[in-house]
Amino acid sequence: MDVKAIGVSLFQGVTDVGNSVDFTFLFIFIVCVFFLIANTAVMVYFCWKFHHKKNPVGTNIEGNTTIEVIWTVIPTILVMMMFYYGLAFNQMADLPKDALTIKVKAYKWAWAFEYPNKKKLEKEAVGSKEWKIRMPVLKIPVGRAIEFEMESSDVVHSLYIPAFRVKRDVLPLIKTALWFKANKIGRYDLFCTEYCGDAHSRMYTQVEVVSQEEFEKWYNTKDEGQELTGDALVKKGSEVASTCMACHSTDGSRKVGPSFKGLFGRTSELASGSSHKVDEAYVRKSILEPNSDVVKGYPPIMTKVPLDKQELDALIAYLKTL
Amino acid sequence: MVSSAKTFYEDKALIFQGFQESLEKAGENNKLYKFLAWVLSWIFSTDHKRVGILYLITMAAFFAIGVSLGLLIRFELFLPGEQFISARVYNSVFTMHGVIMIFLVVIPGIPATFGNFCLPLQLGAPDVSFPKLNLSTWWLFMIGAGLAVLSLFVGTNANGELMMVAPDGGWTFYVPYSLESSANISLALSGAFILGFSSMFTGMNFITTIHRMRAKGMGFFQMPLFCWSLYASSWIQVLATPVVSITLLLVIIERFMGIGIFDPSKGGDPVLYQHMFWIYSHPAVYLMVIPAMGVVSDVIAVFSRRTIFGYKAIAISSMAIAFVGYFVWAHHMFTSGMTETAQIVFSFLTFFVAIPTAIKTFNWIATLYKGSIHLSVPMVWALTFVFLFSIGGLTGLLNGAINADIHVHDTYYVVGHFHYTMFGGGMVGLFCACHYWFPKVTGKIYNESVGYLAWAFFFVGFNTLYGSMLVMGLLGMPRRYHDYLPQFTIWHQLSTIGAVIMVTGLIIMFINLLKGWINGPKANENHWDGRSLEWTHSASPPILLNFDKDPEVQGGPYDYDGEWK
Ligand code: HEC
Ligand code: HEM
Ligand SMILES: [Cu+2]
Repeated sequence: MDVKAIGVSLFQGVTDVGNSVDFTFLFIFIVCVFFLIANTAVMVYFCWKFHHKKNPVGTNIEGNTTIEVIWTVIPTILVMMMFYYGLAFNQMADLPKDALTIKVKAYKWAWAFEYPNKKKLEKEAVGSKEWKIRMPVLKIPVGRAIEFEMESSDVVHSLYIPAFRVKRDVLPLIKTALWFKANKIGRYDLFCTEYCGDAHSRMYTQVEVVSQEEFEKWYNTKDEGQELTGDALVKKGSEVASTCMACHSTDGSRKVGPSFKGLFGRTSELASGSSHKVDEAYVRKSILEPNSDVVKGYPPIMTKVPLDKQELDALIAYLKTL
Repeated sequence: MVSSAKTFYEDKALIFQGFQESLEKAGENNKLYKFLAWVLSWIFSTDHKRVGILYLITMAAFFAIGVSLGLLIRFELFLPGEQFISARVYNSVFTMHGVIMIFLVVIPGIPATFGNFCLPLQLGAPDVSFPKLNLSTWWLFMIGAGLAVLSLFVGTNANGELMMVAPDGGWTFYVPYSLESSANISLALSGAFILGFSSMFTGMNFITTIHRMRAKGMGFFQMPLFCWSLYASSWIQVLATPVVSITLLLVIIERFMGIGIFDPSKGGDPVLYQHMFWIYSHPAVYLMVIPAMGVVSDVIAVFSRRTIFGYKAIAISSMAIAFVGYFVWAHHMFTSGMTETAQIVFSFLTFFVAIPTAIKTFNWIATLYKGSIHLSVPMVWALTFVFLFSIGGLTGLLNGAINADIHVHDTYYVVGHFHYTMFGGGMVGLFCACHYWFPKVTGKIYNESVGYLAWAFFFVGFNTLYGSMLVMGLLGMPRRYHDYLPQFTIWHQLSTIGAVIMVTGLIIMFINLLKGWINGPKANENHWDGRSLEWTHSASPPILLNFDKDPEVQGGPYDYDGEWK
C-alpha cells in the first residue's frame, strides 16, 4: 500500500514498527487536518456573517455548559486514542530470541559496527555530490530481528534511520539499545540526530538490507587480508583520501586545511610556536590525533577520520607521491 | 488606593528625580546634560509603564539580531554543501539564534513588556506592588543579556590566545558536549542564570500585585483575561525558574571543578541533566504562550464587541495548562534511553495539556458568534494567532505519541513545530499586543492599511518558511545540520524563500509602528471601544500614577450591554 500525505510516503513496510508509526501519524494527521480546516472555516464564516456592517450590535452570550462539556469530552477521547496508538513501538522486552545483536559505537564523527563474529565491514564513499565520506555501510539480513547495543565514546549522539522509523540516543558509558526487523531489501540513510559538534551533519552512513542468503554468504566468508603493494596501495590511498578533500587540496591551493601538495619534506609552522619537519611519523600523528599539532593560521577543526591500518598505510603511500 | 498609598508610589516613581533635576539645572544650556537627564529618567524610572517600554525597546533590538541570525541560517541552507559559513560558525549561529530568541525575547516576552505596562492599568492600580524590584528586573535582564552577548566575542583558542569563539551546542546545552566544548559556554550560562532572577522577580511582583491591588469591586473573576494569563504564567516563572538556575549553576561548577554530577566519565549522568533542563524548559514554553492567549482573549472579545464566551473556562484552563505543564517534561526525552514505563506515563500526561488548549480555541471561536466584528489590524493578528497556534498545538500531538515522536524527534519537524508555537503563538501574541495597545502606549495610531500589508507578507512567508520544515522533518531531515543530502534541497529552498517574504513583512510592520509612534495621527481616547479599566478610566497615554481617582468596578471587563458607550 502506498499512501501519501503532504509528500511523505507512508506504509512502505520497510519495518513492522514503521507501519505502526505511519498509522499513528495518519490518524493524528487526519484529526489535525479536520480540526484545522473546521476551526478556520467556522472562524472565517463568523467573521463574514457577523461583521459589524451586517450585525451592528453584538449579543452577549456568556457561555453554555453543555457545549463546554461536549468540546471537552470529544478532544479527550481523541487524544486518548492517539496515546493508545502511540504505544506501538518496539519495547526491549519483546525482542525476538533469534535476533542478531550488533554493537554500535558512535564517536565524533563516525559510526562503527561490530558483529558477533567480528566480521569486518567494507568502507564505502557515501554522501552527496558536494561531499563524500568513507564510512562502514552496515549490512543486515532482511526479515530477521536486529538488535543494536550502543555506546558512545565521547558526547551524546543519536542513531536515526528514517526509513525504519527508529531512533535512540547513544550515550557515553551508558549502554542503550533498540531493535527492529527490516522487511525490504534496499539501502537506507542513517543519521546522527543529537548535536555533537562540527561535523554533526556528516556523521552519516547507510544501511544495506540484503537477502538472507546473500547475508549468510557474506557473513560466513573469512576476511582475507590480501596484501597491497606498490601502485595498488597508492591507488587505494587515493580512494581513501577522497574523504580528506573537503578540507585539503592536491594542487597547492589553500582550503580549510593546508594543501597536500609537497607535504612530505616541508616544514610546518605550528600554532604552538614550534615547527616540525613533515615526516611519516608526523603525518601519522596528524591523522590519528588531528588536534595535537595544529598548523599555524588554521583552525583546530580537523576531523578524526576512522581508518584501519591498511587504509592508513595506503594513505601515507599516496600522500608521498604528491 | 487611599491617598497616603499614592504618595508612597509617587516617592518611588520619582526616586531619581532630584538627581535628574540637578543635572538639568547644571546643564541648562548644555544639550548633553539634558540628554543625560532624559536617559536617566528612563533607565532609573520605577514607573511600570516606563519599565514596560524599556523592555519593549531592548527586546526589539534583540529580536532584530535574532532574526538576522535566523536569516543567515536560512541563506546558508539554500543549497547543499557549504555556502558561506563554515560548520563551526553555523553551529554558533544557530546556538546564538536560539539563545537570543528564547532567553532574551520570548521568555521575558509579553509579561515584561505589556504585562508591566497594562497589568496595573487593567487592575486599576497606580503601579505594581514592588516598583523598585520591577526596575531591578530590567537591570538584571540587561546584565544577563550583556554576558550572553559578550560570550559571543571573548574566548580562548586551543593555544590560549584571545579570539572569537562563540558558544555552540544549541540552546539546550546538553552535557557532556557543553562540558567539553572549547567555546565560551560558562559565560553564556552565567548570563542565563542572571536572566532567571529577572524572570522570577517579575513573577513574584505580578502575583502580589494581582492579589493585593485590584480596584474596588474587582474580584478575581472580574479581572480581564490578560490578568489571568499573567497570573498563571507568573506562577510558572516563580516555581520553575529556580530549577534551571540550579542546573546552569551545576554545569558551570562542573566545567570549572569537575565534580562529576553530569559527566559520565566521573560517574555522573548526562540524562539527569536533560531531566533538570526540561523540568524548567517545558513549563517555560507555556510561559511563552499563556500571556499571548490572554492578549488574544481580550482582543477577540473587544473586536467582537461582545462578552467573551466561557470566561471561567478560559481563566481556569490557563491555570490548568500551567499546572499540568509541570508533569510532562520528559516527552522531550522519548529517545534518551529512559525506561519504557516512564515514556508511557509521560506520553499519557502530555496529552492532557492538549485538552485545555483545545477548550480555549473553541471558546475564542464561539466568541465570534453573534458578535459585531471589526476586522481591525489587532483583530487580524489575534485570529492569526488562533490559526498558527492551532497548527503549533496540533503538530505537537504527533510529538506526544511515543512511536511517532521517536521518528520526528530532533528533526526539522520539531523545528517547525516549535516555531509555530513560540513564534506563531508567543511572538504573534506580542505583535497583536503591540497593535492593540499602541494607542494606549503612545496616544497615537499607526497606518492601518500598511498594517494589513505587513500582516499579509508575514502570514504567507511564515507558513512557507515553517510549513516546509514540517514536511522535510517528516521525510527525515535532522535538525542542527550545517549540510544535508540532496533529496531535501527543494524543501530548504522553499523555506528560505518563505523566510525572505516573512522578514519583509516584519520590516514593514516595524517601520509602520515606528512611524506611527513618531508622527502618527492622534488616537481616540478609547480607540477600540474597549471595556476594561485601561481604556475606560485612564488617559492615552496614561498619567504618572495612572488614574486621577481610584477606579471602582461594577460590571465585568467585557461589558457590552449598551449603556456604556
Ligand atoms: C574538516 C576538515 C578536514 C578534513 C576532513 C581533513 N583535514 Fe587534515 N587538516 C585540516 C586542517 C584545518 C588542518 C590544519 C590544522 C591542523 O593541523 O590541525 C589539517 C592538517 C592536516 C595535516 C598537517 C598538514 C601540515 O601541513 O602540517 C595533515 C597531514 C592532514 N591534515 C591530513 C589529513 C588527511 C590524510 C585527511 C583525510 C583522511 C584529512 N587531513 C582530513 C582539516 C581537515
Ligand atoms: C526570521 C525569523 C526566523 C528564522 C528564519 C528562523 C530560522 C530557524 C532555523 C532554520 C532554525 C534551525 C537551525 C538548525 O536546526 O540548524 C532555527 C532554530 C531555532 N529557532 Fe528560529 N527562526 C526565526 C525566528 C525565531 C523566533 C521568533 C524564535 C523564538 C520565538 C526562534 C527560536 C528558535 C530556536 C529556539 C531554535 C533552536 C536552536 C537550537 O537548535 O538550539 N526562531 N530557527
Ligand atoms: Cu553525533
